[in-house]
Amino acid sequence: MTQAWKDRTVYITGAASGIAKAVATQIAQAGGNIGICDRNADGAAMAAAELAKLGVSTAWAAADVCVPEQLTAAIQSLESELGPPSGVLACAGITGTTLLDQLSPARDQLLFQINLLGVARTLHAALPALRRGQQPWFAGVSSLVALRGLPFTAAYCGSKAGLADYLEGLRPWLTAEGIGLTVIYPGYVRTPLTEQGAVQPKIKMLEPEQAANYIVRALAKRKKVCQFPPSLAWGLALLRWLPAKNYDKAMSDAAKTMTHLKY
Amino acid sequence: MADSTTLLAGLPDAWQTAFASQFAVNNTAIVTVNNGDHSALAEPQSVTTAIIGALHVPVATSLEDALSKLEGAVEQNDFHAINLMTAVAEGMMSRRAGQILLITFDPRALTLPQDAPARGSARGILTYFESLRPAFKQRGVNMGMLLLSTNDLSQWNPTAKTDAVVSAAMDCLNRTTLQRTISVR
Repeated sequence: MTQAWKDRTVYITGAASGIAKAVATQIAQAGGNIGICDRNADGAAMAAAELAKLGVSTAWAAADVCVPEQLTAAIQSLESELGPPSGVLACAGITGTTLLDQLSPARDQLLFQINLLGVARTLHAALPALRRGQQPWFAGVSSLVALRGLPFTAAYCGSKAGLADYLEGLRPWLTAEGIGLTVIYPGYVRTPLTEQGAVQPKIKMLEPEQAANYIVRALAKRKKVCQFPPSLAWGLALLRWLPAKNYDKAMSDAAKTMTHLKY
Repeated sequence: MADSTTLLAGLPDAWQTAFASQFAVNNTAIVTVNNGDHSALAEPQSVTTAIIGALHVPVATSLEDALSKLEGAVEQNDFHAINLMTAVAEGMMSRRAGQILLITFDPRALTLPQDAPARGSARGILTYFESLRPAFKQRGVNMGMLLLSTNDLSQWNPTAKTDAVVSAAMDCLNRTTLQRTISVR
């Protein structure tokens, strides 16, 4: 693992906290240089300072992934300080519920803006820098719930599913340019996002460091897909094959366990 | 006075005409919305059947071009469909009656990189609606999806497929089909 990261440079969005910060920490511990992009400027600066204590080069830039100009400027700033990246991990995202008694197109569209379009904008903003990098790769963070929509989280599931399909669709063009692509599907991970969420499924949460283990290993091996934990990934993948009637029954039954939310 | 109101949104003109003639026999008022402008709906709460098309199919010419095409597809397919569904859902749930049919492309068939924007947009709205479908059912609202399977969007000619699509859609509504895929190659 150390050989894979030593003196390599990775830019990570959303790395002020959560899974992204855990990934950044592991890569830095393995000798990789880290560029942090987050809309939380103070958080990004603090994270960069922490990682610098590991003896690697770090830089940070503030950017909202909904604003392409900010992303472009942030990538350019990181490149001017650290040089072109070996890889870019787009981890910035938000969560939220979609409840029938509180339907809000604005809120649902915001999830699509950040989780789908934000990652797409990150890829396109980073393309010039990636093309200057050594054996470059791009990784986008989707979610296991992208495999099939789950109760109470229509916009979150839709945004993550759309992202996964968009990135997979672009794979041949990225491959033609020598840019590797990893689509990451985390399961249920303890992060500031999930701890605030109204949907709290009764399954074991992974810690961010555990999630980072899976991700960093997959990135080092340039895997095309990273889905974890394996047991949950298999279960949700099987869900994709269920006929619609059986799927709807399974989701209705699952929704009954969320007694604090009205289906 | 009409017995019911059907909303036709995001559909090609030829399909709207064909659907309107289908519903005319049942004394149904037809309301059409273009460009997702649900503010044009005078009484969204009175809609009993909504057929929502998420059929904008931008074809990217390059990696650089793909982002703007994705943004357009998400705006016209996903956001418009979400707006319209929300506009009609409250009335349907209060009556515990109604049907919403989403017509979009089958993302599994869109494997070419130039179709990545359409694929991402279709998967997004399909997953969104599918996640809500069982919940709506419990509120008395039937939600279904009609997926159009084609592997080359650059050859897509909606007018040529009017009969096939409208027939399949009416069948879905009559049978309250949850999800059906038809080939439009």
